Amino acid sequence: MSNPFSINGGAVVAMVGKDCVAIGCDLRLGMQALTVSNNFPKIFTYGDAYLGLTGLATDVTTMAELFRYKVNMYRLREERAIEPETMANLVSSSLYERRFGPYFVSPVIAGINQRTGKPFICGFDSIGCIDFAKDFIVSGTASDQLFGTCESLWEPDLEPEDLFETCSQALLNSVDRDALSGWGAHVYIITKDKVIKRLLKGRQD
Amino acid sequence: MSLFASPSYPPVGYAASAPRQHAFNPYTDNGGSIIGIAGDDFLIMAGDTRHTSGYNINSRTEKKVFRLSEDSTLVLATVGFGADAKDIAETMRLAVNDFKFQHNLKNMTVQAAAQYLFTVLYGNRFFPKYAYCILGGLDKDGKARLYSYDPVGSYSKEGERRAAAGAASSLIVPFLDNQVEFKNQYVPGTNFTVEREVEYLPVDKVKKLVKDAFTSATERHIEVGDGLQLVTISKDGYQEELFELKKD
Repeated sequence: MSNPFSINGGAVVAMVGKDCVAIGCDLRLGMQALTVSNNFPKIFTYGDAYLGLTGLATDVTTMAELFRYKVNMYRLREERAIEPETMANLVSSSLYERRFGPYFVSPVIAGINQRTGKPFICGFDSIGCIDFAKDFIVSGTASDQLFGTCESLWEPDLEPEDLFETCSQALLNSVDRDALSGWGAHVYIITKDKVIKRLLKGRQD
Repeated sequence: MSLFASPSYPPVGYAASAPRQHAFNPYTDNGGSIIGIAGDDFLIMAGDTRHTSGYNINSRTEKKVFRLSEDSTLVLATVGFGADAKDIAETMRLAVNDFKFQHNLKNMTVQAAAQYLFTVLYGNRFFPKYAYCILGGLDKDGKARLYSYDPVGSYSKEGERRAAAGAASSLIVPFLDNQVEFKNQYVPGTNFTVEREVEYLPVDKVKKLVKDAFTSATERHIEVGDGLQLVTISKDGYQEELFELKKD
């Protein structure tokens, strides 16, 4: 229980659909078994790239702010928004920079490349090894549960609204079986020209 | 860590000077998973047929679901430490058989078998049988009954509608919550105020769910795979099917 990845709790999931992606997170922040806040979102937006962060909450906040700085600098230099694939490499190299004293986070990226129109998701371990997945990425204290629900609910080429339902059901049912996650959820459904953010109430226990 | 791990010998030519501590570890986790789902008048019990220790596969054909007698509807599924799991199944089989001859050829009821299994498990309270059990059968009215136990015997007398245990239970349980008890599902058009009502599912639907659960668990858990033993208990008696699961 002194594992830094499971002190605060939390869950993130990302899925690919037909010309769309979805990314969702829970809202709990805890200290071991004690819930401290039920409004702690774990998804952060950087232009076209959506970054989900689970793990040690202090590192989640630090990384979110570090990437806000880095992505702002990138936009100033390049005079364009960062692409999800570029964001993935930025996250990876930033994490590996701390190879022997890592940030205790498991990041997930989701987005649609505005130039190519291609959906993109990926996940990382805490030292930046990228997991490029064609289907879904899970992370956080409910990752076992998410692997189970995603593997059985997900199917290829889901339309945006079906992908939203699949992603939400996978997330909600998983966090309900994890004591360290839950207390509501945020789900983003991302298409090339529209992003919908929905707040799910979920079980409040 | 394995109970049967090869012994390590001190290197020849060195005096065994450092104090050594010997330990006997009576338990091994042999992996695998089991599921039980109760319909209205039928029961599905299933388990994969992989038997592991650590990263090794000992067997691809070791069954986890046991029929407790030829002429009753009692079925027991066990996971955990394979030896203890088998011993519990054998103890129960003997008890069910004994009961019949002690009670004028009347079979043990599921309720009685459930209570007896508790006694067996709690009887080992201070040196537990390391196995998770799911017991099922039809009651006197032909209704399906399902009970699930922890290694020291605690169970619910009301029984359950569905149960899962073993290595991949954390992957399977939330899926079953959603697809069997319709958790987090609402009636369309009611603005999330009316929960979808739980109903008994037909046999073919339940079989599909069980197969989906195991193929998914096989995909993401290394201790689950090889084969799926799927047992159906209904008024037509006991039916056992075997399906292939991925062997990697």
